[in-house]
Amino acid sequence: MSLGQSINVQKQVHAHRNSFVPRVFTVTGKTRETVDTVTIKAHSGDGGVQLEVHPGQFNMLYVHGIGEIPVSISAVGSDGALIHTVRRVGPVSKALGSLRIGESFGVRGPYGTHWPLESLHGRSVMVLAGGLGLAPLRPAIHHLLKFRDEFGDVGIYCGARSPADRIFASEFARWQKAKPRTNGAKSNEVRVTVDRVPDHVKAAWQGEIGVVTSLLPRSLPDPGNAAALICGPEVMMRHAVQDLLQLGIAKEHIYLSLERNMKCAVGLCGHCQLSRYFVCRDGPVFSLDRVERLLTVKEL
Amino acid sequence: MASISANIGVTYRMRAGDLGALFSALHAANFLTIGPRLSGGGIILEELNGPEDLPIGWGDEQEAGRYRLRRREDQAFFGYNLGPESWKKFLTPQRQLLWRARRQGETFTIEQPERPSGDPQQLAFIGVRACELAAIRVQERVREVSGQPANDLIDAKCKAATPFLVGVTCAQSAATCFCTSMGTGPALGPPDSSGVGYDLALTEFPSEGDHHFTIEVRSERGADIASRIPRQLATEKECDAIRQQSDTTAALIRRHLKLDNPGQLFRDSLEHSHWDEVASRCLSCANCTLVCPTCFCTNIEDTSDLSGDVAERWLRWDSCFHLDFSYVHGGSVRQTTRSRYRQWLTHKLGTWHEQFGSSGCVGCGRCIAWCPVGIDLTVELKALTLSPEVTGVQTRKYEHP
Amino acid sequence: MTTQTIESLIGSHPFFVGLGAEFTRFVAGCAKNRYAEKGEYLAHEGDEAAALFLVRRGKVSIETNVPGRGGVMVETLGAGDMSGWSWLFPPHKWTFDIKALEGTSFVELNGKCLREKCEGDPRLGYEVAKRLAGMMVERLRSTRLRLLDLYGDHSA
Repeated sequence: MSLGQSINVQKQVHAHRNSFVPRVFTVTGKTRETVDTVTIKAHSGDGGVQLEVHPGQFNMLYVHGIGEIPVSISAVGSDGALIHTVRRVGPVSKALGSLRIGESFGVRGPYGTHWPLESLHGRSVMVLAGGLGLAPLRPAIHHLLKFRDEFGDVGIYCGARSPADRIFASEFARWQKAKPRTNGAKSNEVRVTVDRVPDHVKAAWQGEIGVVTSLLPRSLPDPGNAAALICGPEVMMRHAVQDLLQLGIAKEHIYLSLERNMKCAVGLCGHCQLSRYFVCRDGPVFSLDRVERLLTVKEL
Repeated sequence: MASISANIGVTYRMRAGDLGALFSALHAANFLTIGPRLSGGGIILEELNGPEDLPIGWGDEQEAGRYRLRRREDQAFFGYNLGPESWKKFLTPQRQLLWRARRQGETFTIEQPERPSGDPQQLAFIGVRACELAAIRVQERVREVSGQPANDLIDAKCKAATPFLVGVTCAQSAATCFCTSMGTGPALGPPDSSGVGYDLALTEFPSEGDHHFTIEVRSERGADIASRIPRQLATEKECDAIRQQSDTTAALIRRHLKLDNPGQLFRDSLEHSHWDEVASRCLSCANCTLVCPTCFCTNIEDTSDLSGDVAERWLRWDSCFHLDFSYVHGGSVRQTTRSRYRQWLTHKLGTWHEQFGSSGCVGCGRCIAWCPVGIDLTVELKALTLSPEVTGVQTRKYEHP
Repeated sequence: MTTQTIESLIGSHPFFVGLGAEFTRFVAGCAKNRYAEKGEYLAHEGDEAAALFLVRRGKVSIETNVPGRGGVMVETLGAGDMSGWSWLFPPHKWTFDIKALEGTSFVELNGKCLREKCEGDPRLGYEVAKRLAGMMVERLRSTRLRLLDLYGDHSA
């Protein structure tokens, strides 16, 4: 691509991102993850430039006549596909989850900071996901396993409400079988636990029962060279952070994905503020040293 | 006379009776003149036809929770201080249509309403006070930092280039003013490189028998307009009088806001017991955010007609005092008035610095006057920065209700 | 299995790490190495709480039998975990069942033996009580987090 072309692309991408006007995307695939969560795959209908998305970012998704909500990108698709995992809890998310293949919705984005995977080369990385928090972490997991040799030990720890509430359940086996590093004895560890097992599935559940933080290793061989990515309900993250700090991981290398009320997603409307930060623009991914104290203040 | 051109940086003098020439010159240059006028027991900002529409001979009295007009003894055009409205009413209108979408089968198309052809209507603001100039600059900075999607805003008036600004020196201060504490007034001052460029600076001298204005020309287009106003060069004494007037006004300011360390306000006072005290009075009515000239929070509203075929997206003023402002996961993060008042104050006076490089407050005092229960942030701030030993009240951890 | 090897198993288990050689040798006198097949119960609710278990390899569940629902699991424990503290507190009865979910190797410390040794030497008693208390704090925290049902949808 010539320089002139690439500048034009940059302008288009920037103009699109920095806009209140959504692009129209069409649903090209749907996967039901759990009873209330669905993964939607979509392609743009306007033949416009592909969105460049990074693990941890989100888009604002609009359903015609209903409204717009922030949804994390749950996989980086090839051929321009956008992949989001939506939990149906409100009018917009329910409408999104009900879209059929061939129907359209609006997309603004991508927005926000992303998991800083490039800066973690050489480190051991632990991924801690609670519930739907696995969605913004999945593209990071894909990256860690695809570029396995760039990282040290990799640990993936997921917690869900019950076996039936696990999203991406079919991928766990694949993650468990993923190759560890080819050079050096570095391991992969993939563990899942659930809060409870409903009676009708108890015989089928061979896995663990307990809180997600119980999956963490008791100690790390080299905590100064480790990092952690966490996403889940804020209470879960507050507690997980304590456990990770106990393991000796530095605050600067513990990353959380926070959530606040996103409306404009460009740091203008003021809704998503958490102290000095606009979560849509300075987050949603934050290193712990920036937000540790903020999380302890009620109703901030 | 009109044929002699005016120059930047020069101060002229104009008879009060010729104020109409300013309006005519602006109208001839296709500016819509906007300024203060009497309405409904107050002074608001509206389109003005000429100087006769200004609140001639009227002043205002303001205190915490109190605003009254009063008749002056002279015929000053600008003898009041500030009404409840600020210029943000015109720069970022309260309601703006962003786009409209029409359903088409399984998809929809988005139309951005047509921009009117020709040059957009230009606005001229008449009677902008020093604190208001600072507020305009503060809001501009917010938009710069956020990279506002300006292209989407289709309101023609809003899309106009920077309005023509006719500043006016404050000849009096209200009891609620504290611009001196914020470094924003009362003198208009020369526009520095980072300030809002303004075009003309008026200072009124309503003395009996010699009611006149001085006009300081601050820009090229200001010079163009001034060229069409009957004027003379101001004498040195008349130029000095401008400074004297603002100095006198400054000396009369009674309220002061002292905040040496804004970062500290945020860091150390978040759990101060004083927030509970303010919360017991605050009605969460959002008046302060409405009248504040720098508050910028907006809401994106998606609407639809009954058939669901035509949808619109609107940008509307919002307030952090609204209960659902911080809505997430079935409830709001800031459920108590206490937390919302704390958010407003620590943002306005504290974290704004880190976000935008200045205070969010310009010392206009409107929030003090227009609070129905008279909450005065200069007083609240004092309480918050005092240690518990001094206030005699224990700083305690906030308990959930 | 000699007492010596049991000692090192105890001393290296996360629950007793840092106990010191003297006390580790002392409590090893109450211990034996055991193995449970999948489905075998380590403890029955209501029985005399006779032991403290240090899990070495495998997986066990903490569960209870609910009429009509059969055995309901509330938690699983694995390598490095411990279970059993009712031996220290009257009425010294197990409050839940413990069942091996797969072949599980573990060290069993006799409760009465351990209790008598703790009563006899308060320093040992304090070391053991501290560890038990810490374990309970952690279990309570985990339980409370699960009770919050954080992953549930509470919007309605």
